[in-house]
Amino acid sequence: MVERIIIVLGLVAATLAISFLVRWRTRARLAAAEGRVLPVAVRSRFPADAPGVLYFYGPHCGSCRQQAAILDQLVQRELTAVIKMDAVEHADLADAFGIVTVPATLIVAPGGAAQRVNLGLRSLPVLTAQLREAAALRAA
Amino acid sequence: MAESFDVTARKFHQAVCVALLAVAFVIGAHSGLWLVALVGAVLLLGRFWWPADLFRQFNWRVLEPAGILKRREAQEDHETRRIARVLGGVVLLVSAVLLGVSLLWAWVLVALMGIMIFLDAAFDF
Repeated sequence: MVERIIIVLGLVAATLAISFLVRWRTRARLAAAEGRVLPVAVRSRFPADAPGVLYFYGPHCGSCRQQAAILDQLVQRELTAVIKMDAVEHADLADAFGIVTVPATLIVAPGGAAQRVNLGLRSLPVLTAQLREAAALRAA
Repeated sequence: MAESFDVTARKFHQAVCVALLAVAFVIGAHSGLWLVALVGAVLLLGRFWWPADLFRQFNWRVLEPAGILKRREAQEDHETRRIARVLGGVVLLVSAVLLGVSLLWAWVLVALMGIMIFLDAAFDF
């Protein structure tokens, strides 16, 4: 029984270690992506004087449908520009901004730099707060 | 529209599943297979009939009303998790059967399920 307990503890430790390593690496990539300017072909689709959202989705992603519905609400409430891109078709762009999962949303600051990269579903209040933060930074 | 779910209940359910699978391994296949089968049944049946999700029910009826755990709502995608729990439930039930006929490599399947549940609980993977 003792050896089995050791095996379980070893598995837990290994899982935690690998998970922290993966999360640390993902965070490092996201931090590096924040501040990076979008290619001109993409940033020209956003207004020059207001923040927007660049949204990456996947063709068979269940939570992407939820995210798309939230973004539709965001467009209506905040009159925000939202550009939607298939992460598979635009894999290079997604990779350049540390996108490893979908749905993913980039808060694009006025001027076309990625201010915040979100991996996973984000709620309407969270996205609204991030957009307002981006708009306030510009005003400052 | 995104749905709101009790995150506390989900994480408690996942923690109990992982703990029971770990205990099942420690006590060995002869008795442990019943714990594996229990977790598998809760996962599978609870997907379609909430009262069968014993761990969540315990959380909602005992722990949250007693203030031991606090309900936390969040918007989550449960579609993926619903599919995952059906698959996980089936794999665990099959594993329990394999353990019952002394095919001890089934512990690998149990470990994989336990690790996946653990990762989702701890890191929302």
